[in-house]
Amino acid sequence: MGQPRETEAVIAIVDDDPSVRRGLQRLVRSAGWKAETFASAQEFLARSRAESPNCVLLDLQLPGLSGLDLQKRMAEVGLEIPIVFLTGHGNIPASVQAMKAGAVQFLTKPVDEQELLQAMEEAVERDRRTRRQHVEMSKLRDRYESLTAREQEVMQQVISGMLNKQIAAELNITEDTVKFHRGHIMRKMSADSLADLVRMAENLAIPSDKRSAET
Amino acid sequence: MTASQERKHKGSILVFDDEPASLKPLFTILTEDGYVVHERQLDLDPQLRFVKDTLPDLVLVDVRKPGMDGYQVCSSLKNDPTTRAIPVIFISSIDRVINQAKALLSGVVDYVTDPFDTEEVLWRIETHISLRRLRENLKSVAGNHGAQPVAPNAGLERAFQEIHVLSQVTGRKHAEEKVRQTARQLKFRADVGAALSKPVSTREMLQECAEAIVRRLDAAFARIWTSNRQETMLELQASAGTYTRLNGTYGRIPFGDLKVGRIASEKKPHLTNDVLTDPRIRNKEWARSCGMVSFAGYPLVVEKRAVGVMAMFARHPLSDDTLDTLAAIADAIAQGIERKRAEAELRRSEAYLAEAQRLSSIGSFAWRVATDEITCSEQLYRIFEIEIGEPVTLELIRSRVHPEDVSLLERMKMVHEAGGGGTDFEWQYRLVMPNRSIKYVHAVAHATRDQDDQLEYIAAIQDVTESKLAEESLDRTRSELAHVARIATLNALTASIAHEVNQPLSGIVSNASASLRFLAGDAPNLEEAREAIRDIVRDGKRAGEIITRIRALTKRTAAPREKLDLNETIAEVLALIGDEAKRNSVIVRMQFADTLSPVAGDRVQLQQVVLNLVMNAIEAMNGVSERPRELVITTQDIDADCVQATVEDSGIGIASATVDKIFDSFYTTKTGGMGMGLSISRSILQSHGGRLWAVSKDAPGTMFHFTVPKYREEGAHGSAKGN
Repeated sequence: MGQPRETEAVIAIVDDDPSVRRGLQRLVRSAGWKAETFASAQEFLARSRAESPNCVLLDLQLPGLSGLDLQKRMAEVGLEIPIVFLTGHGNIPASVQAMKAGAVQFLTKPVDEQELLQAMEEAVERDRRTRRQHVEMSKLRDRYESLTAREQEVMQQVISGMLNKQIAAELNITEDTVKFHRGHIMRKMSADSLADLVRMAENLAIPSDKRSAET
Repeated sequence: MTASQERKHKGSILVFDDEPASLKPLFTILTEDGYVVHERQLDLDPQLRFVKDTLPDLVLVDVRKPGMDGYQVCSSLKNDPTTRAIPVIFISSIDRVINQAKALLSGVVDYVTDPFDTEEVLWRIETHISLRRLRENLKSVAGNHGAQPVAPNAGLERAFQEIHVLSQVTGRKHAEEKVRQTARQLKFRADVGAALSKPVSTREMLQECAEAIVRRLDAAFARIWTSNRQETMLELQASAGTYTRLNGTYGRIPFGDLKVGRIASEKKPHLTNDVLTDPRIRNKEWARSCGMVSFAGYPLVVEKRAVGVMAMFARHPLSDDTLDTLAAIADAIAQGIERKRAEAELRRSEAYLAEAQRLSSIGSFAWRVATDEITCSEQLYRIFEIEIGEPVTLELIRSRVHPEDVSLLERMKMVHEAGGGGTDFEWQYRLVMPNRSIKYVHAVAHATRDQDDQLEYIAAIQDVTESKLAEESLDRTRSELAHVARIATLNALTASIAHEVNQPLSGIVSNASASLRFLAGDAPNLEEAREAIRDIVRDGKRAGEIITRIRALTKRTAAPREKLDLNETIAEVLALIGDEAKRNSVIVRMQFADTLSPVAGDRVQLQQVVLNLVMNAIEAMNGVSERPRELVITTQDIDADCVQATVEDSGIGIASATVDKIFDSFYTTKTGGMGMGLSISRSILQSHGGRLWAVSKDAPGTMFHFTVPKYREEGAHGSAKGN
């Protein structure tokens, strides 16, 4: 028992019952992670956001704002922390709603240790992926920002599938100049191929130039 | 009343008795009437010598006490020639049957029964003394004519025979007739006297009197009427002679009507020896055809009240003596009627009392402390299941008292002795009957002093078994109903209760799993494992408590009142409904008084009330969205006797018209609800000596208040009141 943990993770536990909180906290610690406990949804939201947790163990029945409400609120304010629901009542409609809204898992108390650890791992993994994605996006955006205006223009036309000749005619520059810009773009964007570049553009949601499609 | 003729000295009378005090009234009357009275004790030997020496005119012997042999005295007197002629009269009590044969043999002339009518005794004495004197006179007269007297004897019959023999010798017809008349009159008076003394009905008594009139006075027929209380109507009670029907024309005569009614209304006698010319006699034809000559009618009067009329017709004229005799017995008969009436009244009121006692199951008894004499009413015998007639003693009564309650009796005795007697008591205790069944009785005793200043307790004891058992049965039913309601509520809470138990269980499982992980591997973390196990113990107990509380609520309680902390009691219940409140988004707030006096109550029942009120409050707030759903529970010391608790909600509230109806049984606004909760809760509080009521708030919502009496040390359940 006891799988080695490669990374640290912080698990947030939101439940109004002290017995449940203490038990879960200990279980999280025994799995090698850190735990933070909150007695209500409000308390969790009010927590300072220095380092957001990697996973939330969330009770369905909470005083004031319910678990499902908290899920909705987190989505509204852009808190993308993966949620594992725990509840004393096995409520099918609630579980369907929770999963549809993106929860990692919906478990009933008393919770099976293996199931919970598995769910937490999945959640932590998902959270890691999400964070990586954010980092990637950020880098991509920086790279795009580092392009000159002209380069951005050219890039738009390149990803729309226009030939260099066409781009030169369009922008009233020489073909050589186009090829020159194209090289810079590929380097700055760290794209390996045209396909790569197109993908990056999609991720950045850069609109493609439609003019070529019309000719 | 015969006119007493004034005489210097009527005669001397010797009285033999054992208890001089008892005949005192008689002596006084005799002395006042002109007799010289001597007294002697019956059991002293020189009595007879005294008689010989003094030769009284008459001897009275008191034979009321058992063991006294008056007959022997009498025989001795009769056997002695010097004292033979002295008439002897016995005084006996009504229930001691005079052995008449023995009396005759011993020579008694007459007897007087006690209680006696003094007038009656006087004329008997007078009669016998007169008779004796007459006899003496006759003897001397006869002696002058050379007659041989027959040995004289005390019996009237013999006296008569003797006189008869003498008269044959002397030929004094007139004297003979006079004596015969006198004798008849004496016999007549004796017959009437006897009739009046018998314990028979009024009618029988009067019938015998009427028959005596016919027999002895040679009346054609005689009748006696009695009057009603209002003195407006006469009713015929007796008729002897030629006419004996009671229900004929003269059966009922209004006062003032006919001659008899006039006698009654005027209270004056009507006498005539010439019926055919008397204006009051209406039916002269009848009188003539029957040969009626005389009529005598007397009112029967007692203390100026007309109690009846006595009348007779005869076919011969009535002599003055006869009229005198009739007048005398009229008085005696009137007294007799009155006495029978009084006796009847007494019997009736005794019967009412006995019946009333029987109906109310109350028996009475009186205890004369000094002599330990106990008198009981019939109903008391029935309550204690003692044979009627069996003598009742304090021991017998104590033997019937339930062994656990005997101490109450002892305590009463102690108070009685300590207080010198004379305290009033009231207490309840149990009796055990010979067949081992139990009765509950409520007794009240009052101390009084009689005319001799003797202390006497008069007690009324009521059999309250039925109402006690009904009360207990009602209590049991109420308890059962409360129990059923509790179970129903708990059933409705099942899901919530399951959840409440689930929380600590969750904690236990998590902690246990964590412990195993901490203990695995090369470097087990013992500290963490230990902490985890401590938490497991705590959670386990928490789960256990919830189960215990639920089990307590499902039990049937017959718990007596215990000392409770109301805050704690309420808090225990709130722990059960936590989840229910949460699920309905209700915020529960406890505003308990910091110091609250302990109350006297049944924990489970009070928790049932709180459970009921809280569940109602949560339900009342269902659907409320424009304001927070708040359930506030408050406790406070309200006054010297009670503690008050309040359950307040912010729900839909109750219309002021129904704020009292909600406590009625079967009143509910819930579909499928039974409507018993509030009515049971109210009756629980009432049986605690508290109250439950509802008040509509100004803001939306309702407040339910209830009071519970504070805990006090209990006193004993019997009480002695000072007098």
